[in-house]
Amino acid sequence: MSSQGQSESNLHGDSLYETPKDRFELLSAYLDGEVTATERRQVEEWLANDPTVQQLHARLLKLRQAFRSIPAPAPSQPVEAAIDQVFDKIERRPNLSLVRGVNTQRFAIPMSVAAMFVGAVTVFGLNRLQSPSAPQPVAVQQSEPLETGGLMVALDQPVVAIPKTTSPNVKTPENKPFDHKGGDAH
Amino acid sequence: MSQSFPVSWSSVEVAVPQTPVQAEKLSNYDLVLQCQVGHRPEKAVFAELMRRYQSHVDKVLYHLAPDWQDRADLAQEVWIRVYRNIPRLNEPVKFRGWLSRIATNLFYDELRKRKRTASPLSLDAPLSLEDGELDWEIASETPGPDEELSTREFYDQLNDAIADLPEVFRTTIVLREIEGMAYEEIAEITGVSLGTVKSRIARARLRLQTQLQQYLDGK
Repeated sequence: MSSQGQSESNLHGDSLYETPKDRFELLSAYLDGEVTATERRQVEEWLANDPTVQQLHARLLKLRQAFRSIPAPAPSQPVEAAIDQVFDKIERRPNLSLVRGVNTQRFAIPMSVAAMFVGAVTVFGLNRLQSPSAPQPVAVQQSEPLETGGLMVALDQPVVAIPKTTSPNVKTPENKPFDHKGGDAH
Repeated sequence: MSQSFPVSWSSVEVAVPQTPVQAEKLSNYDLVLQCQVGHRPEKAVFAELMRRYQSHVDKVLYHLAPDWQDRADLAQEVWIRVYRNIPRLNEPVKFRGWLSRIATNLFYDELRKRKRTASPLSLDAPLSLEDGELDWEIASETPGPDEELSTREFYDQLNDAIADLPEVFRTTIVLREIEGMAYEEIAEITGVSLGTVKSRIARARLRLQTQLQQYLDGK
């Protein structure tokens, strides 16, 4: 078998390809067109003279043909369902700021129950909570406390209370996963 | 100003019958071009692209990750990346290869994540899955039994044989034979040398042709 091929190859003086491994590897690379001109000549010489190599070559050609004609597997899901879900995700991801806006309002409602002046507080609260979704406006909003410095005294307690209950809840579940995924479309 | 509108409307009306694109009537190439019009592909056009190429994405993912149960999610992620990046595809004629590459990259991203989370196993796994695993025993010359497998049986066996290959061999031969990549591209994606790619492809082929010898010698 392989020894026959080996002795044949020695007859042709190709001592570099003594083992079946070397010969098979070269034959395989030949099939892919990934050989040098010298290697190509070597393989063609085997193909002309060596029945073992001829048989392996014929099998490999059939294997290649089989790969090319292999039927598609059962669909991972019906294509129309895939289309709907893909567009659902595409349309959902860019609109995150709206989703966040709704949720921050939901957090603001219990606060309005807690105190009479919460209406004013939630305005500040919302401004603060929305700032992570739109980085640019932050700079604009930061100038406001300078003008309302006098008011800060009156709002001292609520302003301290709001970040404790809302900020961590709003940030963690939503901003993280979506921002991460949206950023690495590549 | 108000007078100029009727004039422009009439000219628009003349143009309208020509503009609607019936995506399903476009050639594959024109369909890709149509997806590149504008900032983002139009939904009807992109949906048609998905109808035509979803089976290819499924095929690539199926052979790269035969034992993953969430390939539908992965396929959806492939299409989201395609949607976002197709306007920047420079050679629309190579869309299929580009699509394969996106699916492959996504597969490797996911594979790396899964290996990180399953580190206790994967510490040992590379030792047994590295290039020493498949031997080089060349199959016997004697033809197999006369009985021929039916085509369907053969493809079932081929699928099983591919799925049974150790991971590095399976992914390498799939990139070569299903995706048609050159050795250099495979080396780049898998992060190994050209020599290793060559060796892995040869060994995967050797094992497959040994297992399927009965059919391969049959005709």
